[in-house]
Amino acid sequence: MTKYHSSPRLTKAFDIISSKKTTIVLVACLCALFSVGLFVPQGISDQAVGDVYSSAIAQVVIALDAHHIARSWAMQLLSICMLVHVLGLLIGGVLKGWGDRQTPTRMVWMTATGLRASGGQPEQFVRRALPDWRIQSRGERRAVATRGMGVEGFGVTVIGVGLLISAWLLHAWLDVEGRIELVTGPADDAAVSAWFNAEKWEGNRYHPWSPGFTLSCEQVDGDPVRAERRCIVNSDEQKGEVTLGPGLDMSYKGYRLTLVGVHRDANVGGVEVKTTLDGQELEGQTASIGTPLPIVRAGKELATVVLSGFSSADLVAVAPSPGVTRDVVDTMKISVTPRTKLTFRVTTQNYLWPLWIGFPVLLMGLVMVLVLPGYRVYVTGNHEESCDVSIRWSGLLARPAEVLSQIHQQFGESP
Amino acid sequence: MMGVLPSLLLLGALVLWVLSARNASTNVIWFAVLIHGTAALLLVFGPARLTPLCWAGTAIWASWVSGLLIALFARNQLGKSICISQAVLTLIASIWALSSAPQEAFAVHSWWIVPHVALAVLWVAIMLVATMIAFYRLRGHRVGFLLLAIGITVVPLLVPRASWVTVHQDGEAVMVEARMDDSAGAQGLHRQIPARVSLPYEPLFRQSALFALILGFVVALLRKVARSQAQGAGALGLVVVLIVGVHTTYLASSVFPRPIDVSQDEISNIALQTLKREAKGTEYPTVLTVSAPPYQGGSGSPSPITWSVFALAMVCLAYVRRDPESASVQPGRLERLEARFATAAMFVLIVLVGTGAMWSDDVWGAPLIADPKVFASLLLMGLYVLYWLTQRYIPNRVDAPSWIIVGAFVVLLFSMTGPDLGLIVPTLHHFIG
Repeated sequence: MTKYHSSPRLTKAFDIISSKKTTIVLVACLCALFSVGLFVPQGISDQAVGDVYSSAIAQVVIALDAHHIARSWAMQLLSICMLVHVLGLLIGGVLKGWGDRQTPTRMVWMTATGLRASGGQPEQFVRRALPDWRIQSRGERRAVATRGMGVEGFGVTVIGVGLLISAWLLHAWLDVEGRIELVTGPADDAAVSAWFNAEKWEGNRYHPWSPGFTLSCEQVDGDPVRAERRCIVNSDEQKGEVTLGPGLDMSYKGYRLTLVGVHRDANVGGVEVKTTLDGQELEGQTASIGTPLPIVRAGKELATVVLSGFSSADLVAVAPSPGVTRDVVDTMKISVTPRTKLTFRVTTQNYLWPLWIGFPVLLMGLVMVLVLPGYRVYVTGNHEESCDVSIRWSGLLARPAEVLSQIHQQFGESP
Repeated sequence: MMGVLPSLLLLGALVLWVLSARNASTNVIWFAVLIHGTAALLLVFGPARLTPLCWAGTAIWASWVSGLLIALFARNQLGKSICISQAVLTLIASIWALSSAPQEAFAVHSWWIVPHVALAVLWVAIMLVATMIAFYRLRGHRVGFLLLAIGITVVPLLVPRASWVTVHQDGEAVMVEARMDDSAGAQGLHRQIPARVSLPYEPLFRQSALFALILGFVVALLRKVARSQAQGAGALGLVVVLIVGVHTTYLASSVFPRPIDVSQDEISNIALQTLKREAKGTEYPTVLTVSAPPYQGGSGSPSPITWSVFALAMVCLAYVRRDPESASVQPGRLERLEARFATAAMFVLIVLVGTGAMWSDDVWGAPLIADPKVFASLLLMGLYVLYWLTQRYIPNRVDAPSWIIVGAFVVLLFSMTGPDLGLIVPTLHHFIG
């Protein structure tokens, strides 16, 4: 039989990677990074950071990517370290054995002494007391009985955590993350074209992006902020139309488009003005506050409209054009619809599948570790033909007193 | 003041919780739970319509569930030892019951809201019980608790809106109307916000409380450095508790209407500051109008009162006599129970985040979004893992796991009330009241 000896340096490095101290340090670092997300606004531009903070703080925030903490280099570095550490735990568990690596819990229920062993051997004692348990002999004077799925659960939990971290990293590195901002209105409208803005996350910030399709949305009716919108997606190959409400996404050429922001803003292309004259709706027009807007029918200017605000309560001045009587103006119905700015999140989710697998796996592992009972009964014999029995357990459903009672019933002694 | 009756019922439940701490009868605890539950139902189905979709509803239902958990596990002396903590919690619930702030959930268009909110209430309740046990275990740690109380008292000093009350006239909240213009020439967006002013003399009371706390902390620290064995609270402890108590009582008085002497300019200035913070792009508020005095103050945000009651509880815990020999509960039992609740809290939190991820994926296009509450949840998960690791692998630090639980509770409170107080960045979980 050949024995292989690994390098001491390698062993030491492996011990550091898979040690519990490393777990504590990595988790504490992750906690520190997560806490940044509470105080620093996320997803804003570098310029906006400069507006929010003083120069010195803004430089620190930008250097640390604290305004994009989930995608920051620090988070990615920590995720990689955590992944390596989780792998180290798994490999260490397989190579060195799970049981030996587990540090005894502080929650030792009791140490019962004076239980007489039958035959004087701890292993025989525990086999008779706990017949269906896994028994390991640790020499002549010590035996360990185990029951439950704590070890398996720990392995499953580690795999679940590994999958979740992998999903985080793969999604951040390989999937597309972008956003499109536009104002409501028909696709051929000048304001809609002017305000259309698409950006894609690359490196550590959003960059201008051409997604390969155009998008325009018109409000169907109702409240300008919460109404449904008819959106048209168009490219050389394909055209799609969908009525979007909250909670309804578009899927187009592998991209998922989610409406995540509706803002009524004073600076997003003014308002849409619709004029009805003699029951006939004239072509919709774009207007701005305070700028005269001519109302034209069949090439003839009928009136000039001046808006004083965006809401229906604001005054609308309508002056008849030269040669047009006031009666014409009086029969005119003018409706003003403020434009809204829509923000779409554009993503691909090709590499998110480890998340959907990892989450149930993690949950299953946690049920096995944290909920289902797991016991480890240590029996140590001494020279006076008696045994010390101690129980370590895990899981919310664990009932160590019942296990001890089972041992007592077997031998008819009380602790 | 739609929740006056439920608030009174909750005060009745508070008295029962105090009685149950002295009386060994479990029936009193069940009666307290029953009254608390009745008050919560009245708030949901009464005119207040206070459901767990807002923090006030969550706080009231979570404190009821925590009472239920204590009742279920209170067949021994351990449950009774945390009845006083539950009484304090019921006091906070009675203040939240007076909240008349509107509640709104924009992203409710998903069935995931049902399991998510139910689990949120359950998780907060489990956290509350775990924290109460941790408080009981740590009672008498003067330096730690006073430091925590100082932190809690200092933080609102940094946020002027902590002590604001809403101004009323003839029983209705006074609104400030403002016109928002922008440098690009557009104008006409009108904003209406409630008129709010600072409670008179509140900064003076708070600064006195802070001074007393710092004094108490310095004395406690010196005693600790000198390894003094003297454990008595003494006159200083009594003074500190009284001063912080006066501040808390004064702040709590803000929930009741009373005449308040402020000018239109003061109200306009505060409204101006609020609007400037909320302005988007190049917008800025121009013309502000508000009705003329006299005004009545009342029913501001319950968040600062919650923090103040919490600070008072910390001070009381700091000066409680800790005599291990007189403790009615074995330390090991407390530790195990705390661990069980912490474990359950971690498990429920993970499922809670899972349902939140489903909801978010439904509505926001991604399972995890950069929301402060998500970061707070991830931070809390990290703290639970640290709790578990500390308990198992650093056994010589007996109190460290309990301090981690207290820290997790502070994060929970911070993430709930932080947006309302402007302490953390805006969040999708910002439901006022």
